[in-house]
Amino acid sequence: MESEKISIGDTVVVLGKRKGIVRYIGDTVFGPGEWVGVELEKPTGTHDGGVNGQRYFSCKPNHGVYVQRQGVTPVNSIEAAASQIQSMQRGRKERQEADFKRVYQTWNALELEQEGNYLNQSAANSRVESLLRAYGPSSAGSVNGSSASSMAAAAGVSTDPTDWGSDCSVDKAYKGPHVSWPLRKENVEAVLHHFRTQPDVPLHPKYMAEILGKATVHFRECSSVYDMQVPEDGKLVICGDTHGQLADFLWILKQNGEPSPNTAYLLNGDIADRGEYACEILVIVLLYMLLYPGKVTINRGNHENLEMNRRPADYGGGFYDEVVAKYSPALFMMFQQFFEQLPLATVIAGRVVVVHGGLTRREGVQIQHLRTINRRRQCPTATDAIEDALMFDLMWADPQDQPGVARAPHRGANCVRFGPDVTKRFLGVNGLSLVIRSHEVPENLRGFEDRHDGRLITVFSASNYCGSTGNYGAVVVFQADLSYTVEEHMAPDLSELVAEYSPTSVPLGLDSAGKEGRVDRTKLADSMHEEVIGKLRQKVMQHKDDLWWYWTQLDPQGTGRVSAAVWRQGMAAGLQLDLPWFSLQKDMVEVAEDGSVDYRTFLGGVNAGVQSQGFLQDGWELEVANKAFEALVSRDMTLQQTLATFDQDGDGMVSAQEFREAIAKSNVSLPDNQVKAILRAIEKDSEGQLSVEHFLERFQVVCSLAGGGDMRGLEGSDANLMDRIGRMLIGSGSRVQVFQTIDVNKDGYVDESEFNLAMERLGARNPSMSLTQEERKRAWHLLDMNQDGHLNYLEFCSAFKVVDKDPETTKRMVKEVVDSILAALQVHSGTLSFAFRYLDPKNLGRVSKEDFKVGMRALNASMQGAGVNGPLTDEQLEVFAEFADSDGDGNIDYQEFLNAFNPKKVA
Amino acid sequence: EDPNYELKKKIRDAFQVFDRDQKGVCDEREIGTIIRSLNIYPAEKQLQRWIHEIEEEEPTGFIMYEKFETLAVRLLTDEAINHKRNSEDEILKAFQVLDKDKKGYLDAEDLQTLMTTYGEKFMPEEVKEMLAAAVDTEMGRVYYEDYAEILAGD
Repeated sequence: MESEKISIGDTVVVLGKRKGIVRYIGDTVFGPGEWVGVELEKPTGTHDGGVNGQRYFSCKPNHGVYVQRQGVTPVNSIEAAASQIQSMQRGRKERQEADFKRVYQTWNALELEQEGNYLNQSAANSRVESLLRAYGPSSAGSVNGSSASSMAAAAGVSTDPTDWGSDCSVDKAYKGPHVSWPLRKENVEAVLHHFRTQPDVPLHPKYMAEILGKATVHFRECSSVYDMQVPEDGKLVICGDTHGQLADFLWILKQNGEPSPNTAYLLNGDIADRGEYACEILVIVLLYMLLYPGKVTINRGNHENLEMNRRPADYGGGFYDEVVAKYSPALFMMFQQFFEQLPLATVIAGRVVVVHGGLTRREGVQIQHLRTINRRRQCPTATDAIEDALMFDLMWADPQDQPGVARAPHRGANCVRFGPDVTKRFLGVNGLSLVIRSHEVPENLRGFEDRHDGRLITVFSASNYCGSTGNYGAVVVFQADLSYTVEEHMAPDLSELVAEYSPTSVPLGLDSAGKEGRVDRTKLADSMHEEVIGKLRQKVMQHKDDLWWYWTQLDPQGTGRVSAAVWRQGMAAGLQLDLPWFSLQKDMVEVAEDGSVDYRTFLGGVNAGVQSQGFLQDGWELEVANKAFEALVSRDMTLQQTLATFDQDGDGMVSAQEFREAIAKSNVSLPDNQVKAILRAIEKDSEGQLSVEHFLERFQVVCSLAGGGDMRGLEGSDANLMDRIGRMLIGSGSRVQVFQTIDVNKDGYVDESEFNLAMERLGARNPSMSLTQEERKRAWHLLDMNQDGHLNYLEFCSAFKVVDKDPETTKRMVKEVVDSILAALQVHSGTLSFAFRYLDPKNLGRVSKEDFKVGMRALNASMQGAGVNGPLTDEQLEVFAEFADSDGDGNIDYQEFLNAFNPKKVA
Repeated sequence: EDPNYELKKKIRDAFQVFDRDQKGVCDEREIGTIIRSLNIYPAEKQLQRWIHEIEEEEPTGFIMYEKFETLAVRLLTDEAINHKRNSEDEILKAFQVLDKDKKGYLDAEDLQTLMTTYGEKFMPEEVKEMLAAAVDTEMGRVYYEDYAEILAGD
């Protein structure tokens, strides 16, 4: 690069670093070429202008320097270059920051939506419960505010905590630590050491039960607000959500010291769910609590809750699975009874209130009201009664910057946010100065956030929450004078802590910053983004009907395309999620050059990935879909007529909408979701208009007899004959019923005369299909393959099936129909799970085939009650029951069944 | 049909990330980040002028969405050319101005001095972040040809 022009007096940069003013330009004795004498800004030179008796200018000592011309750059170009790089660097950094924040917010919105889903389901659960109550009373499950002890009693689990663990003994094979009573400090330390070095070896169930029993007794006499002091000459450490992240809790103990008479601890709820070590965290906390009563305590969180814990970890739960894997369903019920004794809030030294969620929507509430809330029950989900509203808000509310109370639909039904004015009033009325709460990762992704003019602190202790978000964790540490500090952390991996504590290995010397600086945000953003896209595709699958409906309404020509803007509006409306669809769109759907999106391909591209197809025996998909086709064929006469009335110009083409209405009018007993699924499959190759004839003709009735093989190969008149018999049979309602009336001698077989009689009766109902005498003879000949003169009528009835002639469309239809059913089962798996548990008061994890059907039917019926059709026909429900009982013992493991419909976890 | 409909959607998406209660307001300290997340690359001084332009008559520290949108539409249409990201070549030339000896790299220490002394000076935090991303840790050098590509790339 050429040297830029400089003159005496210019500000320049010497050798890229030192700034100064040009005092001389010209020849020197130092060497050939042009030289520059510079007076530097700072005393970083070597002389005052004179060197070895040569002087070309004068300045202060140590400010002078001589350099060759090319070593000097006018400051303007350096400034400009630096500014340019700084601007690019700042741009990059802030763009990344905004991207990270956006992806985190989206991720978090989906997390909250899934968690809150539990609240939104409670209405559906109530409907199911009332339906099941009519079938048979049970105290196994109840929606609103019932207590764990009544459920435990029904399950045969002891409700007397002093007795827990007494029916259990420790055998020699047990490798973990022991616990003996009365508790000694060394014993507690041994257990802590055990979890520091062998976190995957759980404490013995006997000890676990004993600890829970004693802790339950400990809290039983407390009011719903716990009072606590900061130890004199000591401190109180307040932890927010830990969510089973043992590494965070061990790290906090390492940083702040183990609990002692001088080191008090308060865990502000949400120890359970999501992470895998909630049991271990609870054991440590409860042992220290029993050792130092009054120095250690726990507030209840919204995750210390039975229905929540029952959900899979991906849906905000996971504690049930953890307890059952380590212990048993019975111990889970002990945990629940214990959770119900946990206080809802703690007041520190009469000045600071600590609560998991937040303050309440009702005005004028005093601490005294909170003290007397009946907490010994599941957290209510309805908020009509003031006592219920208070309890609910303490567990679930979030703060907002705007004054007042607002709905927080992103959290789920009934949740609210409260403003700074609410906090100020509550503190004022109660003579308090500070609220500490947890419940959410602070928006700034630190472990701590200060809001409401410093009156309200959020503290969250699970760092890098769910291994996904890269947030810091924190604790608030109070001194006796109620001054406090915040300690933030990024916990190391559990394996690193284990290595640090293991006596055999060299300590890693983890510094106090833990993993700080080692978290790669770009990677986290990518993995969160992937998770988000995966979850959204799942949601698209579950709401296919709504999306499809939305877009087809705005696509009157049936082109299968809408503008990208309409695509985004559809996503927002169909999924009911307010997300940055603009930035999500590029990773979800291809936008053509004209700005349009192919929504049919988009919807066709999302499948109901189910976790373990293996649970249901092979072939269930086809079977279930065939039942849908049967439902159509059973009404094909009336359907044809009805369609004709829609087909005004007689060209045999009707629109999708008309087809749907025709199906409704013809009394085809097919739920709407499946009608839509079939329509979507047809629409793909019919450009929005479908041919009635073509559509109905493509379904063929085939007959296969157990003894005689497949009759699909029949030709011409024989095939037509079987088709007619099949259609009459399928259209006549329950085939078994029909033939039971016809099996006159009740021997379980149909002979030729009984067959003839049956065909006559069916023919009388469907004159256009009735068979002549010759045809009946020919049919009997074909059916009675081994010519032994009779047929097993059950076999005969189930021998006729409807299939689509075209194997390609069959595949597509089966996929669409099955997906629509799976989507419905996924959406309602919480309610279904609730129904099965109602039918399984003893917590065996299985129900009889009959009860299974009852549960499924209750879901179906409850949805009909809500103004929509249940997702399954009765016949499909039978198929599920048959295929789910894979070992044929008449019982169905419903937990496995439900798991089979969980969305596949995104890799 | 608003010709800037899509553009405004994009602007709204960017703004909403920092609009906590979704009330159409955000903290003025976030405006720089929002503007940069829209791929606008202003000088700090320029940014301050923009914020001054859109703040309320009685500054509250908060910026209203409507005013921001008007500004952002202008910046992304009429004035887009003035504040776009530099090309890799342009960024490379800037680094070459700083690399007196044409070595093809800058020592981490020198880059640190330059960035905190000249131009719109970096705060210590900012330098730390830049060095973390740019320095070849083995040699303690910034091979700026690679880094120019990173700055210019997505």
